[in-house]
Amino acid sequence: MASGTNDGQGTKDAATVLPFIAAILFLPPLILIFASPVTVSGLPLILLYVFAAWAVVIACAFVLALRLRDFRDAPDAIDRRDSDEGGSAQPPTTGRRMPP
Amino acid sequence: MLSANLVVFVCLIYVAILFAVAFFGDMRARRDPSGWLSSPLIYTLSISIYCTSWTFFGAVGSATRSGLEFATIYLGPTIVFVGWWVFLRKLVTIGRLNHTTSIADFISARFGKSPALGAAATVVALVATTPYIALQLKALTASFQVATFGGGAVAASNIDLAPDYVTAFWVAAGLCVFSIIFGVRNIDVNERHHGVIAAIAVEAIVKLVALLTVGFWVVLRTTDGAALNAAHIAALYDSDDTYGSRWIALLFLAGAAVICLPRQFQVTVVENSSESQLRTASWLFPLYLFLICLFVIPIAQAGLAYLPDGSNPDLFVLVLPLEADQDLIGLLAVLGGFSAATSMVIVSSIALSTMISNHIIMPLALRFAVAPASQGNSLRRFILGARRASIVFIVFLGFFYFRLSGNSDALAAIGLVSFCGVAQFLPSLVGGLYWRRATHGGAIAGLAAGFLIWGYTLFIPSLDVPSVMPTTVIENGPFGWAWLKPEALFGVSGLDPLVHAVFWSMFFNIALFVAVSIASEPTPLTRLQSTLFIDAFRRQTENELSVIRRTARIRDLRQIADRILGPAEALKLIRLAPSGESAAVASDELIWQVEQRLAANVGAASARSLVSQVITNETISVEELKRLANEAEQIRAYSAELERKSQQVEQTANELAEANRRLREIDMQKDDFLSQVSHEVRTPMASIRSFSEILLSNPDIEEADRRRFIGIIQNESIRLTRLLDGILDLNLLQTDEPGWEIEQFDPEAALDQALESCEALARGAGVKLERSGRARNASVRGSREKLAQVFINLISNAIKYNTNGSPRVVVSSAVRKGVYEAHVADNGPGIPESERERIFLKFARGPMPREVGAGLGLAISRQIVERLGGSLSLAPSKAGGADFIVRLNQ
Repeated sequence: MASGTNDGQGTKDAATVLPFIAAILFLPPLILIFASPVTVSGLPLILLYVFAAWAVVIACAFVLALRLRDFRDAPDAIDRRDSDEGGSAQPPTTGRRMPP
Repeated sequence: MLSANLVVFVCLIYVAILFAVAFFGDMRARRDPSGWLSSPLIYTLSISIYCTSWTFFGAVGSATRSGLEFATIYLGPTIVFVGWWVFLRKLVTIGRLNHTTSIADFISARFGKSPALGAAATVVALVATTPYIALQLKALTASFQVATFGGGAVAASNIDLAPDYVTAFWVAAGLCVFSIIFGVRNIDVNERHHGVIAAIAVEAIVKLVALLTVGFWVVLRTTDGAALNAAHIAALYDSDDTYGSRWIALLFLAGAAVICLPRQFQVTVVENSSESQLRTASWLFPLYLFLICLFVIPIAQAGLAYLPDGSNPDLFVLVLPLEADQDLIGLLAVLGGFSAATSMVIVSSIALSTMISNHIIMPLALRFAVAPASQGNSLRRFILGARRASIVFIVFLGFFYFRLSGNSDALAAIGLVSFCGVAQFLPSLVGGLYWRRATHGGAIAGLAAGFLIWGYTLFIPSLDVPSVMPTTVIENGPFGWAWLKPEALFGVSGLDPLVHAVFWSMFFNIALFVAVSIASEPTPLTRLQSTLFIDAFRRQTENELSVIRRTARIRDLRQIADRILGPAEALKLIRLAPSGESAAVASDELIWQVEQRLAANVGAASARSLVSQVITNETISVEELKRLANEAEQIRAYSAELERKSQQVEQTANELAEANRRLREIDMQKDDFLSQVSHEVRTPMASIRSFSEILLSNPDIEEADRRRFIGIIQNESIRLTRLLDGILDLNLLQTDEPGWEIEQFDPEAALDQALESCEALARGAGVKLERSGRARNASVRGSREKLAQVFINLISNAIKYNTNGSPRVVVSSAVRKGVYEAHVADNGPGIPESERERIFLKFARGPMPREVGAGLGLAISRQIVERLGGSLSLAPSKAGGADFIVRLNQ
């Protein structure tokens, strides 16, 4: 999930992606795969799936919350996303190498 | 059956405990505002007022009727909270920074502190929430009645009990008292309701423990071999019904509601004091929901298995333990439902009363000058009174709604209807946080359209009151217009009524929000607020100060602050302000601070109108605004500029490096030149010195030798002079404008003169000097003498360096394409490829010189020709001999 980079960008990206993954898990068509009359040790598969996926999502959120605590004071640039309505040019990401 | 007295007694004890908790919570918070009452755990537990009695009792009912569908109500908020980093974090941060008092305040502040928008949002929230409050009252009385029913709980849940309005009335009255005492203690909403929050947290624990206890007990009981209800289990797989459009719509609505419900906004945004609270809630609140849902299906199963057919599934949680004579668990279930219902009503009424007083009563009072204008506490008392009255109004509006709708099932569905109503806030809320262009007009249009369509397609039909909407209208449309049928708008039929209403209301809401926003121009204040909201993370210190310039007298400002904040607070605020030289006029910063503090009390819109009353002059700097608003563009432009600059710098650096390289080269040439000059000077000097020493030390030297030595000394002196003259010439050519006589002349004359001069030298060396082609009518500008010198140099070089057996020098000239061209060719050894450029340098000599020269001839010649605007070069090498070319423009 989160890479251990110093600025926590990996963790922040994971935190951004998590709700979308969670939504996909609970929406058709994915959920329809498990909506079949199969029981696992007496319990319907769909019931197990929903609660298991739910628990996994909460666990991920827990891990991310712990990791994000460490980057609280770091200046962040996540809102580049919302200011770019047109999705136009991003600022240059790499500095130019100056001649010696 | 539980004894009514016992239930009442337990409930009263419980309420007494809640009062105590709230009281001590308030006390403790006053001593230490950032103590454990502000901890993330308490914050998370307060958010769990999302789980009302509709959850506590209704989730099992919903699971019994529609299988897993109940889970969507909790999965939606789970998705929103685990995704806090994307949306909630921004919302909560902005709310905290702007001292937002309610969702209506938030939306109105974002769209230029618009009073109209605040009022509209308040009306929507009120209409959508009142039935929800009625539902809680109904659940409370029903659970009380069933638990204490003389014929037993099972029998009670099988018959339609007439609601006990007396109980409901006293419950409503009790809730009003609690809300007023702990919720409206102070008018500053941002002095958080610690007492209420503490009590809510206790209630959250009680309802969770109650539901888990019932769940555990049911699971333990079911293991003894009770058959699972096959039909119910099969309903779980019914993918068409359960996991279709309704499933998606419910997920969406629940996710929207956990942000947009006034009470959720109150506990999540308004009561928030730090980001760490939200960070913990991001996983703890979903975990709470998960635990709440864990035993819902088992309880539903058990209810179907053990209770007679026709039992009300909404009361399984309560009836199951009572049926098994587990009175203690039954009592706990009553308390759990009681907790869930009361916490929802308390927080909802507080949130709504703030909205009503700030966005309806205050603006009206200010406009019609109803608000007490005198000094002192009267205005504060007026606002507090308005809040208290609003709480009573809201709770009893719920009560009357319950009284009117009576025993109909209309209330059961009201939860989702309410969700859909408050979801109308979502477009303005999300658009306001991410879309700069969104305008006040767009927000009003979208909200109004969504609200009307929600009312028409969902809310009014769900009331089931024929006088408001006759059944013929629902079946055939108004005036028989089928395309306006409330549950099949524009002929879209076959959808679940809820999905239908969600689709059309959100469709028109979003469409109008976007269209009107694009069509209208945002006011300067809207533009400013949008920048402050959207860039909340980027710039937390920048404020309106730099944009809005206002003039107000401190005395007037102080008066307003006195009236709303109280004298002590006002004095503190005024003292905080830096006292400038003109103490009578308030600084922009002071005005801004006063407005901020007022906004925390009465909302941004009312605070603005209050401050505007005493402001004599207001200008919004459009330039500054543009700068703020276009900061994102600015950053982009700035980075582009940076890149351009760095390219320039790089280019300059390259040029500098090149110049540096050339300088080094020239420096090296100079060093070479100097060492060569010393070397050239040293040889004649050495010979002059040694001969003169011989002459001095040998006075009796023979006359012939003496003369020979003196001759050598003279020759060497002449050579030295020539050398120094050459260097001088060269330096003159390189530095100063030479004092040449400039004239128009025939270069042939210079060539002839040079040939004549070299005649004797050629003859002496036995070199055959030939003259071939001549140029006719050639004419160049410059110095004839100097050109002749160049030719002499070239010809004498050709003679001196010719080592051929029968040496020969050929001089020719011609005019080609307007360029005079003279060749001096010989049949000597030629110039090797590597030497072709070097020979033009100073002190370069051809190999194997017949006579040693200064080595400056060609360098000087080239300088002269270039001064004349021509070129001296060596023709491409060919077999035998060198061929020098002088080209001059005519």
